[in-house]
Amino acid sequence: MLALLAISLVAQSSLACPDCAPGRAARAAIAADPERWLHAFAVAAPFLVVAAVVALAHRARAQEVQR
Amino acid sequence: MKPLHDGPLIAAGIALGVGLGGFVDGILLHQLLQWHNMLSSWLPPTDLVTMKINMMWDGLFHVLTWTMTVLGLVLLWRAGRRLDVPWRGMTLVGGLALGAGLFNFVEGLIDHQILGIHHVHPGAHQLAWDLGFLASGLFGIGLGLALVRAARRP
Repeated sequence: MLALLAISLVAQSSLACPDCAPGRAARAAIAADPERWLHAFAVAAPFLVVAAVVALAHRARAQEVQR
Repeated sequence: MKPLHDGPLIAAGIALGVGLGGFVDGILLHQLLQWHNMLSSWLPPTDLVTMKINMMWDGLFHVLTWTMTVLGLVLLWRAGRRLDVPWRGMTLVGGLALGAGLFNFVEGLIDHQILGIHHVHPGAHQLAWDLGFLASGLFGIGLGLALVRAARRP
């Protein structure tokens, strides 16, 4: 996941519109957003919940014996 | 008599269901239909700059769905190598339904209702669309639980 994020940051410099005005404005707005960590949490929160469910399901006790 | 442990296969199914369900949401609702983006209620994509900002946050969303999918594949591989995990298709499909349903319900509850960062179909009948999305999640969870339980019956 971290590799994907790193690649996305690098790829921005090789895309068709790496330095066009809207691209620069968007990146500046994201960097200057005082609530960007809240936004990141909002996006990630459901996945944190389901990851906990996955962990619980994985550790569920044996339910039956071999037939 | 050895105890069987279907938890790892269910967990794999849930992770895959979350990832694949998330991709359906992202590809169908965000990109093809363009009904909403991740932050489209907080920052409506009314021009190219705000659209690009939303697209970045959509990208983060897809990073997470991709990660869940990879996690599911790893868990599935590991479950398949265990002798104490019964290799049942119904268990895996049940897990997939559980995961997809769980994603819809949890994401709908947190992102649509509690945080309000976006809604399924903003505008007319917005609440009905959001409630329908939650209902689809509950349906998936119910179906998944039923399939997992059915797979355990002798």
